[in-house]
Amino acid sequence: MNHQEEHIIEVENLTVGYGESVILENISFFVKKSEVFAILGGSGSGKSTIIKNLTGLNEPITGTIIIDGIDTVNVKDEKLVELRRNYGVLYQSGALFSSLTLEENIALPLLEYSDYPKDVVYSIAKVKLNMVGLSGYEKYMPYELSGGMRKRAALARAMALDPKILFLDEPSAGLDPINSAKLDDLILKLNCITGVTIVVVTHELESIFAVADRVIIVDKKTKSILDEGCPSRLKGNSKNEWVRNFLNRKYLRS
Amino acid sequence: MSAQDLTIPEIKIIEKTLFISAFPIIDMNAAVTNNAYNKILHFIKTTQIQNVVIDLAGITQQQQKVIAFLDSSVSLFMKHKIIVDVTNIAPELNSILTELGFVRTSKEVFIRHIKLKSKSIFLTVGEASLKFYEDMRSFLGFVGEICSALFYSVLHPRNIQWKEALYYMDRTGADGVPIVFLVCFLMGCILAYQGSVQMGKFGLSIFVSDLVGLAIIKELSALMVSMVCIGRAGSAFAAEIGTMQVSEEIDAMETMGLRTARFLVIPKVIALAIVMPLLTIVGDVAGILGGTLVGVLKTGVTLQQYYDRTILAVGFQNVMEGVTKSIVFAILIACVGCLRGYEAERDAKGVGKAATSSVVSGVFLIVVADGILTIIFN
Repeated sequence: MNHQEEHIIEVENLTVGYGESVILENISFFVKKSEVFAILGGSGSGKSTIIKNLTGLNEPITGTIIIDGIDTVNVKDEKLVELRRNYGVLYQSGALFSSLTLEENIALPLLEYSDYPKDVVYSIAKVKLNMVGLSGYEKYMPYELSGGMRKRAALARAMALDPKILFLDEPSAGLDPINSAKLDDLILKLNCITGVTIVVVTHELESIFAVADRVIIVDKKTKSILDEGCPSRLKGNSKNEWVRNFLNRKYLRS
Repeated sequence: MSAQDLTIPEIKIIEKTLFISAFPIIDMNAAVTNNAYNKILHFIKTTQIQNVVIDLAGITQQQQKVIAFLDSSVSLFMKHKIIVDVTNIAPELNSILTELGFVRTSKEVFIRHIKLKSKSIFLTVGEASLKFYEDMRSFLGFVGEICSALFYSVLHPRNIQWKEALYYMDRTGADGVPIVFLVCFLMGCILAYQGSVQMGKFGLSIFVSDLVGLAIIKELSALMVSMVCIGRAGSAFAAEIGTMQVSEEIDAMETMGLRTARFLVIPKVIALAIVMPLLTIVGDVAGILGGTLVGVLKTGVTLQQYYDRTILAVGFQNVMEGVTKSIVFAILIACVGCLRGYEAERDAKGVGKAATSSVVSGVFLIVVADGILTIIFN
């Protein structure tokens, strides 16, 4: 397997921010195919901004992002739209379309991009909802569901087109520990069954240890990546003291 | 030290220097703070203070009210161009003072950092021009996207979200009939009344029907309908899309590779473009009915005469003129509503602002478009 095939995402010298304010400077990392890759950091450290840049919602200030062999920063708009069909994104709020039922939410991308007959599309939606444990909720509107259910439904929608990469932005934010653990299990299950590459942004340590194969830790102060590697290894052996403390939930008073 | 002094920080003046100290021994509650602040104000007004020394001996990070008082009083001194030195600072206060804009001048003393001068006019104008350029770019980009989405929808009518379009037709059209009828009926009454008064002076009362018929059908019906639709539909579109921005629904659509304009804008444009001409025809009828009521009662013209004159004065072409205008207005209202929604800042206030500005820009655009169309038609 050559280098390019192994790494589904390659980010080099990426500088991201909003307007003139730079959040992260010159960061480089890669994501291997079929792994669960976590981006960890404190609040406001630019985790979600990285996802927005990876999915093409924001343009990086400088740097290159290569996803599946294609430079997504310098690609034409039409090509980017096409590329995005290979991504599934789960947003912090779930972001289900509030005027559509759950099955319509999942059916929308399928109707748009696949040639399946309508009946089959709705059956696929049903199967996807079953996969996330929401059988029987096909006709529900998003506002009729709890936060955890909405997240799971959104995950089902993100998986609708069987994407190559799934981006999860704080999947367990706002969930109680049990639902949060259930969601972690679901993420692992999806990764295991479908082999989808998962990039997850979070500051929930339990989630990281439960699901992530590899993790990078970004820092607000130095605007850089402090360390990267397997989370349980970093917990004991990170060269960076802050990372060790962060992963061990230690807070050092200055 | 007297009991009186203990109620506020000790504030005294020695040779044009104001000394403020004794913070720690008092509780800086609202009354004490107020007292101290007034005393400082009194000194500033009555004596020629040149500089101020604030002694922070014994103050710790816990005494947040003292730090807040320090911040506000130093701002007050700076406003009056008085130099302030803050002394005896506990090391733990260093970081908070720096964050509040104080700068260390010696080991012991902090002074307030002098704020930057206001921006030069060139910078302000430059920034405003850049912002205008960016706004125009995004507006043109949006118009382009809608045009391409419209073009796509014409080529692939099956892919139009007809269910959504029907929903908007029902909401903006059927629900709007009573208000449109009422507004246009009253407009007809008012026109006929004003017309009969003025024209009656010259014995031209018979022509009231011409005035009402032509004004309503060529101009006012479409204009009134569009005003009602801006209020009912334009602002609703802006708020709806703005809320979708807040809940990241639009981001979700874009990352799915969906052209959001096709899903969110086109059904609304189609719905309004179908419904507004129909509402305009309702408005035409209502306006003429209103005009007839007042015209017949006020001028003594018979119903038959009034009817005959109206038929004579108003042609099919005039009706089509009003209808065409209403289609253009419909597209403008829907597009501006959606554009403002897309531009909404991602909070509750942003959504409110988007709804308001959709109405304001909608009214402006319609008046401009009306002017242009009127010239073209004549």
